[in-house]
Amino acid sequence: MRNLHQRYDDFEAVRGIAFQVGRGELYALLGTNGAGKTTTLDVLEGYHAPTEGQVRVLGHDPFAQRAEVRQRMGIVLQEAGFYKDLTVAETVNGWRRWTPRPLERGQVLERVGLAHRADVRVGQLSGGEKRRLDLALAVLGRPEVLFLDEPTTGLDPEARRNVWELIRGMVAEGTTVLLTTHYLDEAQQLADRLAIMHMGRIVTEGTLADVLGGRGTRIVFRLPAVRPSDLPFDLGLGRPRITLDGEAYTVETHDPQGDLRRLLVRAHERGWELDGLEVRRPSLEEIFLEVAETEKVAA
Amino acid sequence: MSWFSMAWAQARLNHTVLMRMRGLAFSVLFLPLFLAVMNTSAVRVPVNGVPAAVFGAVGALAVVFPFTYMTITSSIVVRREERIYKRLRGSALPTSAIFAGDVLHAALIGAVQGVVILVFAMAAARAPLPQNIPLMLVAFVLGAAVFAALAIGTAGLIPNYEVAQIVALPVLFGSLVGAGMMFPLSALPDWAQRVAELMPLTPIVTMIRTAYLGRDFGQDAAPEVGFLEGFQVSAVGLGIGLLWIGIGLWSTRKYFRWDPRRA
Ligand SMILES: Nc1ncnc2c1ncn2[C@@H]1O[C@H](COP(=O)(O)OP(=O)(O)OP(=O)(O)O)[C@@H](O)[C@H]1O
Ligand SMILES: [Mg+2]
Repeated sequence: MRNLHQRYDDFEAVRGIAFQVGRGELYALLGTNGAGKTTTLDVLEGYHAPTEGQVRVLGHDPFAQRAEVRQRMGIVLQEAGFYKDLTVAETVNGWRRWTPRPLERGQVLERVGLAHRADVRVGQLSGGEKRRLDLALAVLGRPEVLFLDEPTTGLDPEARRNVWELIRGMVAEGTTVLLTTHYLDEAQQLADRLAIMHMGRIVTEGTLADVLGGRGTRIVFRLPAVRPSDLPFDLGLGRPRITLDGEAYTVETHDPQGDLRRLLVRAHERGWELDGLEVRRPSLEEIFLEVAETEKVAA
Repeated sequence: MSWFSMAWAQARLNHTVLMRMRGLAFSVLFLPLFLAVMNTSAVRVPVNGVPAAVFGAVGALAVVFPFTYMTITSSIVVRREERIYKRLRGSALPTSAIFAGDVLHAALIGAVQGVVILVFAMAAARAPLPQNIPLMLVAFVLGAAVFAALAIGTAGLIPNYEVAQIVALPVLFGSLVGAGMMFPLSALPDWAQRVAELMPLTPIVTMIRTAYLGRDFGQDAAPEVGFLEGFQVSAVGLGIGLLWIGIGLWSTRKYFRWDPRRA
C-alpha cells in the first residue's frame, strides 16, 4: 500500500499512509478513535476505491479486481449486522453455502467457542458472543488474508485469550493478518510489526521494541505531601523523568528494577504509603502525546 | 463454486429470513392470493364478451408483481440499515449475486403464486386453458424485471423498514386500480386512460390477458389474435416495460446505497 489517502466529502480521514505486510505476518494498526484505522481497512477490503494512492492485496487491486481476492479474504468488520432472527447454526449454514471449501460448522463454532450456542437466535447473543460469530464467519473460508477490526473489543478476558489463540493458530498456518486494536498489550501478544495511527497518519511504525524504543517504563503512584526532591532518584541527564500531577507521580525510567527498589526502600524508611503503585509500559495515549510533541519540536 | 449457486444460496437465505419475519411473510405470501380471489368477483359485467370472472381472474395474475416490489424493497432496506449488506459484501459473494439472489427469491415466490392463481382461475372462474404460454412467460419475466428494477431503484430513497411498508401500499393500490386489473381501463375518462396505459403494471396485465385469452386487450374491441400476432400486439407493452426497467436502473445508479450513512 502506497501513499493512501481517503476522503469523505471534504474530510480527509486518511492522509497519506504506506505500509507493507508480508505473507504469514501479523501487522497491527493501533490508534485513537477516529484515527482512520477502519477507513484504511475499508479500502484494503475493497469497499472503496482509494481517493489517492495505490493499494494491493495479494497482488491485486481489492476494489477494481475484487473477484480475484473476494474468496481469499476473511473480514471482521468493526460494526456489521446479522440476521437477528436466524440461529447461530442457520447463519453459519447460510454463509457456508456460498463459501468455497468452507470449514465444517461444528469445527468453526468450536474454534470460536460458540458450539454450545448453536441453536440460539443471533438477536439473543451477548455482544461478545456476536463478536465470536463475526470471527467464525471471517475464518469460514480458510482465508489467506484476514482483516480484523477490533476483534476483541467487548470480549471478556478469557474470550480475548481464546481469540488470541485462534489468531495465532491462523498465523501459524500461514494466514496473513491485519488487525486493529486499542490495546498495546494485544499488539504485543500478537503482532510481528505494528503501526500507530493518529489523525489519518502513521506516527510510528515497526516492531513493538522499535515503537516503545527509548520510551521508559512508568512507575506511577500517589504520595501526598512529599516533594520531588525527597524522592530517591538522581535528577540528572539520562535519569528518570519525573512528572507530578497534583499528588500523582509518574516516573519514567530505563532502570525500573533499580528505581523501584530505591523507591520502596525510601518509602519503608520514611513510612510513606505509596497509593495505587503501578509499574507499566507507556500507554498508547502517552506515545501519541510524545510523538506529537517531538513532531512539534522538530517542526 | 459457480455464480449461480452463490446467487441461489443467497436467495435461499433470504427466504429463511423472510419466513422469520412473520408479518411481512404473511403479506407477501398470502395477500396476493387473497387479492386475486377478490379480484375475480370485482369485475361485474362481461368485457368484450369475456365473462367477468374470467376477465378478473386472469388479470389478477399480475397482482404478484407489486408484492415482488414489496419483498425486494423491504429486504434491501432492512439489510442496509442493519449493516448486513456490509457483511455480505465482505463475504465470498459477488455483488451481482447479492442482487440476483434478491430478484430470484422474489420472482420464485411470484411464480408459485402465479401458478396458484392460474389454477384458481381455471377451477373457480372456469377460465379456459391459456392460449399462448410463451407470451405468458414473457409477460411474467417482464413483470418481475420491471418491479425488481423499480424496487432496487427506489430502495435508496426509502429510509427504513417502516417507510418501506408504507411506500408499498400506494404501489399496490395504484397497481390494482390503475392497471386495468379490477376493471377495464376503458371505464376511465380519456386522460386517465392515457396516463394509466403508461403505468408499469398496465402493459403486463394487458399482455397476460392477451396471452391467456388470445385477444388483443390493447384495443377496446379486443379482436382475436393468433399466436405470432399476440407477440406483435404486445410490442408496445414490452417497450413500456423496458422503459420502466431503464428508469429503475438509472435510479439505482443514482440513489442506491449500501451504507446507512448518507454519503
Ligand atoms: N462514511 C463516512 N463519512 C464521513 N466521515 C467518515 C465516514 N467514515 C468515517 N468517517 C470519519 O473518518 C474518521 C476516521 O474514522 P475511522 O472509522 O477510520 O476511525 P478509526 O480509527 O477506525 O476509529 P475507532 O477507533 O473509533 O474505530 C472519523 O473522524 C470519522 O468520523
Ligand atoms: Mg474503527
